[in-house]
Amino acid sequence: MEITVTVDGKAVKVKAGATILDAAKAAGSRVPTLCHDNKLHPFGACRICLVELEGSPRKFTPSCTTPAIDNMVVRTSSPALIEARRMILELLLIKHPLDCPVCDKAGECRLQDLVHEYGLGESRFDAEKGYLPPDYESAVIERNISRCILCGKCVRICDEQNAVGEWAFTRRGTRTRISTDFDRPLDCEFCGECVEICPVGALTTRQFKYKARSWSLEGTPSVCNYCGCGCPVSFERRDGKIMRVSPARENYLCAKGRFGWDAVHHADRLTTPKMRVGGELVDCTWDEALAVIATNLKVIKNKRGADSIGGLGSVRTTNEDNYVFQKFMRAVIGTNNVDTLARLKAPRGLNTAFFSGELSRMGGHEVILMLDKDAGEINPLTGIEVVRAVNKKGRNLILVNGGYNKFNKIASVVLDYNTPEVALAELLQAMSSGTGSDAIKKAAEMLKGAGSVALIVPAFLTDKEYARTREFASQLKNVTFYPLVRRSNFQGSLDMGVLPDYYPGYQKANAETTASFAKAWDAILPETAGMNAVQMIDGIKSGKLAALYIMGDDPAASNPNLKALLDGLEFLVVQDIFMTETARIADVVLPAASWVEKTGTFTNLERRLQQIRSAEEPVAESRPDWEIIQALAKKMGGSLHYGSARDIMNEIRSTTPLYADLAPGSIWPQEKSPLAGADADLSLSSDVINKKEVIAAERLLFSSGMTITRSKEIGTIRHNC
Amino acid sequence: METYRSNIMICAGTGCVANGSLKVKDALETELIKRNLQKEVKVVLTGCNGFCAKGPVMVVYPEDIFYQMVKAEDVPHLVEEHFIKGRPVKKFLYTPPAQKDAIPVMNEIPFFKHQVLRALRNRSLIDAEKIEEYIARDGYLAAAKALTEMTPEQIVNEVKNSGLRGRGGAGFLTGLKWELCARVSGEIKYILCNGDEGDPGAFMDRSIMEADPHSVLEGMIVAAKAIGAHYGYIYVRAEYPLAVHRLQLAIDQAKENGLLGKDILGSGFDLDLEIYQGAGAFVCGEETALMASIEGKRGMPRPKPPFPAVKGLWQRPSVLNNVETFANVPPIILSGADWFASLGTEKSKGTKVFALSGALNNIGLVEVPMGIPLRTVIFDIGGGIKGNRKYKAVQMGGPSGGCIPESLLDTPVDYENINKTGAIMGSGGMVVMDETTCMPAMAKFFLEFTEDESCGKCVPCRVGNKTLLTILARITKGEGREGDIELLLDLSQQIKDTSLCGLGQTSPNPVLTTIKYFREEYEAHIKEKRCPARVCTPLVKFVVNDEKCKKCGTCFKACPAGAITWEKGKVAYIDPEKCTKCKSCIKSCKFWAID
Amino acid sequence: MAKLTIADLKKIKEEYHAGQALREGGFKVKITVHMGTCGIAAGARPIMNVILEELAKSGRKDIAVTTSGCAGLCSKEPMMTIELSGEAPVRYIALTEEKARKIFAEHVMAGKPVKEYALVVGHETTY
Repeated sequence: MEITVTVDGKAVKVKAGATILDAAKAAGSRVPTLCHDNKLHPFGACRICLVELEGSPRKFTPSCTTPAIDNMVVRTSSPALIEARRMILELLLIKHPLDCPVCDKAGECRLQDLVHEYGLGESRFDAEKGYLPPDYESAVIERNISRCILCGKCVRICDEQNAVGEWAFTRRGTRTRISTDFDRPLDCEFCGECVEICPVGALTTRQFKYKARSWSLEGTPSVCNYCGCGCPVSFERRDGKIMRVSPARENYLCAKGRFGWDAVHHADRLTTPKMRVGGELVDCTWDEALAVIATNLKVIKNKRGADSIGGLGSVRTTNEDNYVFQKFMRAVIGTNNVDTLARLKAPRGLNTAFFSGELSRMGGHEVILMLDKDAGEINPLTGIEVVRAVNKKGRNLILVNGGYNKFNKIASVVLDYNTPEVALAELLQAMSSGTGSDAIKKAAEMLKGAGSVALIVPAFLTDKEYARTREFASQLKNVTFYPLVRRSNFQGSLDMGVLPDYYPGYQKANAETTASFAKAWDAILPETAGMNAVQMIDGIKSGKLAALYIMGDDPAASNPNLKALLDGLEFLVVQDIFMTETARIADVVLPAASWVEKTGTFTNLERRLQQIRSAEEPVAESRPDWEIIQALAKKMGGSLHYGSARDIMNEIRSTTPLYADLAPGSIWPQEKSPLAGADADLSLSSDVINKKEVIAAERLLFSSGMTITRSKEIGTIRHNC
Repeated sequence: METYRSNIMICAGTGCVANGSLKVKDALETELIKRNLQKEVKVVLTGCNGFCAKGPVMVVYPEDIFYQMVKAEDVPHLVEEHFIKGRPVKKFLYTPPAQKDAIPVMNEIPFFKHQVLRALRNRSLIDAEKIEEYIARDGYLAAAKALTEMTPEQIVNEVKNSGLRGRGGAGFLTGLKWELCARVSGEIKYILCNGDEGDPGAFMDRSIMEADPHSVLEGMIVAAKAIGAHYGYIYVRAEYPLAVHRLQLAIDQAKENGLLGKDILGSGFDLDLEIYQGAGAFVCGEETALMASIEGKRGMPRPKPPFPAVKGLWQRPSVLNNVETFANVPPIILSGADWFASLGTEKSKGTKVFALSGALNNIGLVEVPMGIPLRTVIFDIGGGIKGNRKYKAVQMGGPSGGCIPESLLDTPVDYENINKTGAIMGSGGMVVMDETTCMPAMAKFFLEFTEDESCGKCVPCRVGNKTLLTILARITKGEGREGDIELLLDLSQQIKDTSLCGLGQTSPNPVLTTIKYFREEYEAHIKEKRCPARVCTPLVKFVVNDEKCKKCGTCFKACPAGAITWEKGKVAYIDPEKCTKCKSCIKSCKFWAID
Repeated sequence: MAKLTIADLKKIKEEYHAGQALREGGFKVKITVHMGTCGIAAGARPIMNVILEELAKSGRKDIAVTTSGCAGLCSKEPMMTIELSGEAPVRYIALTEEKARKIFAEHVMAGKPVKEYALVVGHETTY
């Protein structure tokens, strides 16, 4: 239903339920605000958004909290209003310290902007700058209490958006302070959303402190490289170096996305190619390194056959890198032995039984069934969307949790189980026969009656759990899955065919596909089936595999047995951005450019194609992965002629129907995949290898394999209790 | 003015009322109308004459004839004989005993004479911990009537027509508030009682909660039926442990007797009440902050709309009323809207309980009809200023209110008239001040309170009150500046206009009213650095004014430091080296001779 | 007590008035010590103790002692009201333990109100 409101003489139509502030925005009238934000429930604390409402018994009306009513007549500016707004600013400036010269917020500070706009030169009041020391104890985030204007946005976002509620108003009156309980150091998710939303410099990040002035920064739009959510970011640079990372538009960023980027500046970055001479790794030139690789691989290929060489691709490199990698292995080396180790314990059923829904649409489902209590730790944005769905849209959350975490606070039903298997079995029973515990019965009723259900699929599922989940899902009227994907481009690596039995786009590696690709690539392609990652590792032991080319992975770090095994290879090439554990035992080490130093695409867990852009020059001698592979191919007599990442994407589009019309920002529909609905499961399992998750801090939230261990900032987050 | 040939004064003391004097009054009026005598004979209710054992007592003037133990059935006969045939009825005649005791009668003492007890109807008569005593005085009959004989609409209309306005301070029409909530659909609604009573100097609600807790419960039952609520909370400040104890006991006893809980009195209506204790915040007396507090959250007010009648406690439709408001409800149901509206002024019906404190002779709790002149309350009921000092002002409405000077003492006490003076009726606190009170210091006192109690959410109240306080502190320290008065006035008005809740919207009132009526005092502080009331020590010179000094030596005797020299017949002298500025001399001097 | 009906309410009221009227049989004297917070703060508990002491000493069974809340004239606390059957109640103010004993002896036992300690006689106005 629409209503009409007249603002400053201009009549506008807004939806019923909109506030006067919404109407003012629609009319193009500027109303100053300090405590208002579109993400948050209106609070009405700062009083600077007051307007004049005709016919009201009160002189002023707060526009952010008052609902607009049909035929309201509003004035957003008048001498009295300007006086009132000046007073609010005057009062705030009594205590607010004169920190602008040393405050990081300068240039993007709401208080600065408003004081400037309202022309406050002199104040009627004496200044009373009581100095309160900043909080130097919390990791990552620095709170400067003196600068706080008590708008409450940090409190509200942590509560309404994150369901954590780390900040609160404490004490009373002029002694009010925003703090934690008993003023202890922060012990939260360290996402920095509070810093982002703070209108002044009361909350700043230690990473950015004193680094640069906000107006000297230039932003490069790109994507975070940690988890599968693929949150869009802006790398803000000055003088060619990233100073800080901000979210794109009003998106969410977690601690890893906001602060973890500094890993690319770590001292462990590889600066030159290295080769093993006399048992030691020594620096060498690209020519030398590539020549050594080419020679050794050719020898092994001649002696033992192409199938004794394997390639392990990366879940952190771009689609272009992965495409070129599997093309190299197949067209130049001549083997289908190409895979990623990430498929071990990978999300069961991803891209076959379970295709992810759009995260921003989580709130559209009446019921959300969270089978993995750590969903918010593995894919933070997924967790945030669940909280938004509950807090903003009033949806029901059914949580399976044998312990207690923040989701217990907002769940409508909590099923007290440690794993989903029993919970699902009991739910199925309750749904068919109406028996079970009170909680199970309540949950079953909710699920039965729901028009649409969001099912958050755990990252790890045993065989039984996998079967049970599929069985359960089939009983629901309308279900959308939200699988948890730990790594940024895991989806892309599968899409790009870094798989022994599939070419890009899940085209099965049969005679037909092979022939078609042979034509497209103008190359002779292998006809024998390839070994998967597990088989390749086993192959080292049995002698089937003699050489391994590892791009962007560090298997030696996750398992000491693997390290010994890899050491026994005849020839090992490692191409990475860091001197990893695996690189230390390699025969040749090739320095790659990191995700902030190259251009290309990722595909996130929503199957959304995302553009990443180079924000810095590659470190020293490092180069983008696809360039390295192309140079190596040339040395080995193959022909790859790509001038840019775009060239590669064009070829991807022409050979892979799945990506043919996929524009950046769009999602490829699940029906397009040849594997949709198939019983096949693209994950691998092994009792022997057991890829261990490396945890950087005590929480999954601050972990992301080995890369995050090199983030200085994330490393400062320690848990004391 | 109408003249009657005869006046019948019927005693409306509690004793006589208990024996049916009001029914006799009704019967008299009916009979007089029947006999067409209503223009000649007037029936008037009076206070107690002390002949309680012989009640109902009535006196007929001008003959000065006392009748005793008259019952309603006797009335037609009495009227026939006495007023038509002119023959006093021997059967009822009474000869009052000679006043051998000379103990004054209730009616003769101004403190009691002017009071009419409605909310305090059970004052001094019942043991709060015995439910039978409350029942014995018509207790729970109003609840019974509301639950079994009236529809919610009827209850709302009765309360609306009575004109009862919220006694917590805002004065909103109670019936209207109930109607707004009754109209909202919802299975779960809440009836809430505000027993936070945060105003310094106010103890009306405490008294009612301690002495007559069932009156509150009964009022809540009626209200719950009107709006359709089956759950309720009584929010009592934790600083009232006796009230909490008595209320809990009352709730338990009511439940035991089926007067709370399921199927009350067999009516099919359920109501469960719980007590929630406050934690020491004045701001939690504000409606939405109170609800946030019950929800377990920090007591910070929420913006309105949405109004609590639509979205209140836990987002359910809720009605919050003050303790005294609820205490007024049962009599309205039993005696009717017209009866309630028979006292009071056009827009302010009924009575109001006031807590008298300060420089008065009679400190205590009084209940008076609305419209009574302020002068009567202070000088007759309050007994005038203690120690023969002069009246200066009365602060009405606590820290949200304002002071009323002598020139306005004839103001009738009701919402509209008090508002016109700049003060507010408030919850009923009346702090009387004499000439020894310094008005800027008094304004500072109230600002200290509100600055401390501000929740801190909105800028104007949090920072603005502190700023007002800073300026007042400077003024009372002798550091006032030219332009401070105008600054106080401007800032006060701006704070009132921009604050989020009632605390900030009213906290500058003491400043505004003291400046309005006592501007000279502010000017003396600022321009002459002098405190006329001799309160602000830095602004007191401690020098004897030779012209005013009556050479009585009182100050010499009062000084504990031996700093005063005096000889009989000579002017006193204060030695500044020895003077400790304790002000004992100033307090003892009756002639204001020390500056 | 069991759950009451409306009829029960009325019955309790009647029975109570019959007892409270003090006109025939039952109690001959009712002593109310006012114990609101103001009274207690001023010292009403010791007064109550004195009255109970004196009551025990007297050995009489027809004297009722009870309490009430605040009686309104807070500055004159502690207060108590003595009501003899058939007479108007007398309110005493500004009590001390001594005064309480004297009042018990003279007014309660001997039926003669103590004028010097009394404020007023009668009931308050309730319309």
